[in-house]
Amino acid sequence: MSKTLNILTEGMGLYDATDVSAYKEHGGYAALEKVIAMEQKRILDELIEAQLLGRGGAAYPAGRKWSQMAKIPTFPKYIVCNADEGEPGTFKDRELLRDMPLKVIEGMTIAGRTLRAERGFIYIRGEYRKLQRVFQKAIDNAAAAGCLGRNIMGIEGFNYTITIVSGGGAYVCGENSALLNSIEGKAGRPRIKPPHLAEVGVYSLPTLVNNVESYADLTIIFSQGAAYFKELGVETSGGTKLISICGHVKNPSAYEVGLGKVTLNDIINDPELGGGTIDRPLKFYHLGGQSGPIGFPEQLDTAYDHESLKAQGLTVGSGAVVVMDDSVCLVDYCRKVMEFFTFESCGKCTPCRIGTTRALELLTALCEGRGEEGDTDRLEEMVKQIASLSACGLGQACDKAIMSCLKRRREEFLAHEKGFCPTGSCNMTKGGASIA
Amino acid sequence: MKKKFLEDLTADEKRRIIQDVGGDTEHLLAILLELQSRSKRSYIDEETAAIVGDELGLSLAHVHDAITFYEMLETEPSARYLINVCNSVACYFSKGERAADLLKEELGIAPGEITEDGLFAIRYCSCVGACEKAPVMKINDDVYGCLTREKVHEIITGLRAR
Amino acid sequence: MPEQKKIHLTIDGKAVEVAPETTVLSAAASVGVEIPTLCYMKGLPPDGSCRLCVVEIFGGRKKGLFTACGEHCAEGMDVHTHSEKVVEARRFILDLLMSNHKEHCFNCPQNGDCRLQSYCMEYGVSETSFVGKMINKAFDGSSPYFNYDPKLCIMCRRCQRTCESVTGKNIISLNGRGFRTRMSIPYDHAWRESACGICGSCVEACPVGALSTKSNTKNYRQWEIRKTSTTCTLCDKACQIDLVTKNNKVLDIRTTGGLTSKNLPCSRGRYTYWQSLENRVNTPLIKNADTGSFEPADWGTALALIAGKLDKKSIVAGSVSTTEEEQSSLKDIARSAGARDKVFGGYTELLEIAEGAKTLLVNDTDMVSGCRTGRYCSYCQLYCDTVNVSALNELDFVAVISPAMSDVAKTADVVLPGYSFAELAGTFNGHAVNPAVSRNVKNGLSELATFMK
Repeated sequence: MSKTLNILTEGMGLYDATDVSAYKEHGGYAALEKVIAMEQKRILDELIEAQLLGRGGAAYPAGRKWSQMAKIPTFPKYIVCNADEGEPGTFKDRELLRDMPLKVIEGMTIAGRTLRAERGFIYIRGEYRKLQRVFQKAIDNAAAAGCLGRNIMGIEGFNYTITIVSGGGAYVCGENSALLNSIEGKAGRPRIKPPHLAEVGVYSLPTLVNNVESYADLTIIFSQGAAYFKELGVETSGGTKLISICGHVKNPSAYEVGLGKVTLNDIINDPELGGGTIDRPLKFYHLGGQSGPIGFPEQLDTAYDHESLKAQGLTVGSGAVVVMDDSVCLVDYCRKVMEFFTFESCGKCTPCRIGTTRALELLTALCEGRGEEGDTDRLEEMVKQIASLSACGLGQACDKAIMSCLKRRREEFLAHEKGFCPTGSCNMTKGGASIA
Repeated sequence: MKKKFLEDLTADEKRRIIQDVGGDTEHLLAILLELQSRSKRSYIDEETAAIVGDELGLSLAHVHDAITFYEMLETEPSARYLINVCNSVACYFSKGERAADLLKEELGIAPGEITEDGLFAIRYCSCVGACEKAPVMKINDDVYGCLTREKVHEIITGLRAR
Repeated sequence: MPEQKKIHLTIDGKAVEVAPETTVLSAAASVGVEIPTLCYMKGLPPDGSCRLCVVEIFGGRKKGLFTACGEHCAEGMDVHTHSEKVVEARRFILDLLMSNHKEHCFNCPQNGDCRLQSYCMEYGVSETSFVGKMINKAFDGSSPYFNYDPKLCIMCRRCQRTCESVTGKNIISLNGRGFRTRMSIPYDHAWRESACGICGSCVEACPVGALSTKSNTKNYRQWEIRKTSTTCTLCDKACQIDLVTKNNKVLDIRTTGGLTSKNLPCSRGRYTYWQSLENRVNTPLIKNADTGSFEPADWGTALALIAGKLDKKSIVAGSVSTTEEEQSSLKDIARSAGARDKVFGGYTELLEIAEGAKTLLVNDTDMVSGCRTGRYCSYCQLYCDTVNVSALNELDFVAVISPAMSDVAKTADVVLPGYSFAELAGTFNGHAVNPAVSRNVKNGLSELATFMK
């Protein structure tokens, strides 16, 4: 059986992605038509049954999120699509935005119909400025075809518009509350909670935020049914997942896999997927983005679904799989991860603003032969404190990669304390420490 | 027909652009990116920022905060082409030579520096979502991946010719 | 009307009952439990950025550390404000802050009045455990009345939040992101070059020494000072202020009850008035007609001289900045002399009034001469050295009662010592004016009023 699928990505690249008629020929808008005829409760039940876990990284059950939104008595409500895709190693939403924009639009419209929201926003990162133009064309075509705007599909009172809001280069805007601030034309610093976004979102009104892929998945759920969708995955997590594999593999690219239907080994080594490492043995892989944990060869037999990975201390996250061979020093890699966090930290809260820089300094010292005994313990304590005290998901997740490394490969860090890089790639002479 | 540079636009022409790109705070970043893309030196000067604030009902402090917060926007002038070199893990650890090194060979400058003719400047950026083509660099809206010595040379030469 | 549901929780073992949406911070305060804060500002929405107010919460569907300033109380919560985990967390935060902070308390203008310093002492953080990069932006002393030292900034952003939400001036911006963020004037101009009206609200908001008043009397200890709650009389806003005094000298002005949009001293009240109180007039002075310089005189002579000159061709003028009692005294004097009495609002008005008189008595509490509008809002005027009051020279006789040698006083023939509002007791715009310092010089206005009865 093929390890890669073409369900969500069915038809990708085969027709003009912004053409509504072509889209309809390929099954487009069948889902919305069904939803229009359904009662809100039935829609929500279907979504719960489908077991769609948010595809952005947090994996929050969509059905539960939508049900909470439906209960809030305040109007107007807003639908927001998080297309910030800032996690390094992630490039799967890009594919959807470029080649299946109408699926995303249809999904967002389904959300609007269900929750009685008349405005949708899609926050597309500034780096995808070219894709923003493609997406705008799709929106314009959908409006021209009566699938957006007023009285959609001829239904009186069914109004919905989608506005593209551009990002400006800030990973932290992938965090939902920061994203909403950015939509409001402010710097993307996260908000404190309470209040929660569902109740106080864009312009302080109830807001639903979901990932690009989550919205696209709705077109499958509501055209083929929740049971079908669930079968594609596993009991606890339905559907397929778009993953993006990169790094030291032969076939870096985005793929669609069934949740739980492939293992990490398949993803990295199968010729249909990653194709194995290029020229050196696998050393580790980073899952779900910089904020995700790092996995090792001994864990390759794990099924790729939320629960199975969680049991191994791993994650699906954004769907990113960054593969590194043994030419890469684990400590150096963790240093780059922390460097990313210092660069992207919004700077609002003390532990993340200053703490990540201090952690980076410590990692840099280790990589430059200036390590001291006890540094690994100090690093561990520091990042744990930063994670527990930070105000938003960025700081709260900055310890995941390091902690997963310390759990299984602590010796590599300890060696650096003594001035020795087992991989041989760190230039340890800067500190003049003795080489083992 | 060549577009006028931002630096040569009148205040009214700038206001026109602001309105064309949406004219409201939801489009703040889209507006700033559009204005900066027309700058001779890849930045947004104070006067332009003040006009944006004025048109959108935002204080200069607010607009300035946004420009300095978002990495793609600049308050300091650099060069005609600001080359963003991806500094995230997939590109940094990619096989082959690093983009920054290749650019140093081609242009003689390092990240943070500007060429003498004022055409090129280099700086690091975070992942731009093209990791399967590592190593990657981005110039304005164009992403260039799978960089080699030859490719870098070709790209730079092409830009010089414009 | 159904009674609002109450929420029950425990804080450090104490049972507390609060209304819904009460924060843990205020619930704790209501039972006398103090939680340390840095970024929190009463009157503004909680910021949750310094993280110092973290408390450990169990129950109420929570488990772990949460910031008390923003966390809403929930039924059954068990809050520990000083558990081991909490203390450890606060030490970590303080350690991080101090690692990016110029660590010379003795040279710091905030020494002795600094929350960061107090908390470090309380939590035993005597020095930072980190050696790393620090923010390196230059000191900006360009503004006339306060200094900005970025190396002391803890990024609580209270200054910017005040400038945005309390005064609505929006002068202060942030520059950058992450570690390199710093407070700044847009496009990095010197503070003086901005549209800042120098109201000093940001300086009051700053909990550390990053923004500090220029006057070097700022270095004082909390126990050395006295605070007198009074009213600023310089305009009809009548801001409620606390005059901070030490050894009978005014050192500082704070807003009573904190900065709010209704109680917002401006540049004039906060800085310029005090700057102008140099050259105090301590005795009656009579101008020597030949030399033009002032000579001290005894009270009897001076008072008689003034009384002799006041008649129905005189005008007795008091500014709007005087207390009701002083206005009353001026009216009495006018009545005794048969003169007209006038209240003047600004100097242009005074000069107009002066045109219609032969002799003039002025109670000059206004003091701030000159009015430069344009960049500054009408409430914030810079003290400037020159004002064209030469029109007063045209009169036959001018007597001025003034706390110091103002420009108006310089044109006078006789000057009597006056009291500033820091020395007066009275009423202004319905608010109480309480003396914060005592003056062992007689009050010229009351002496004259008594003399003329």
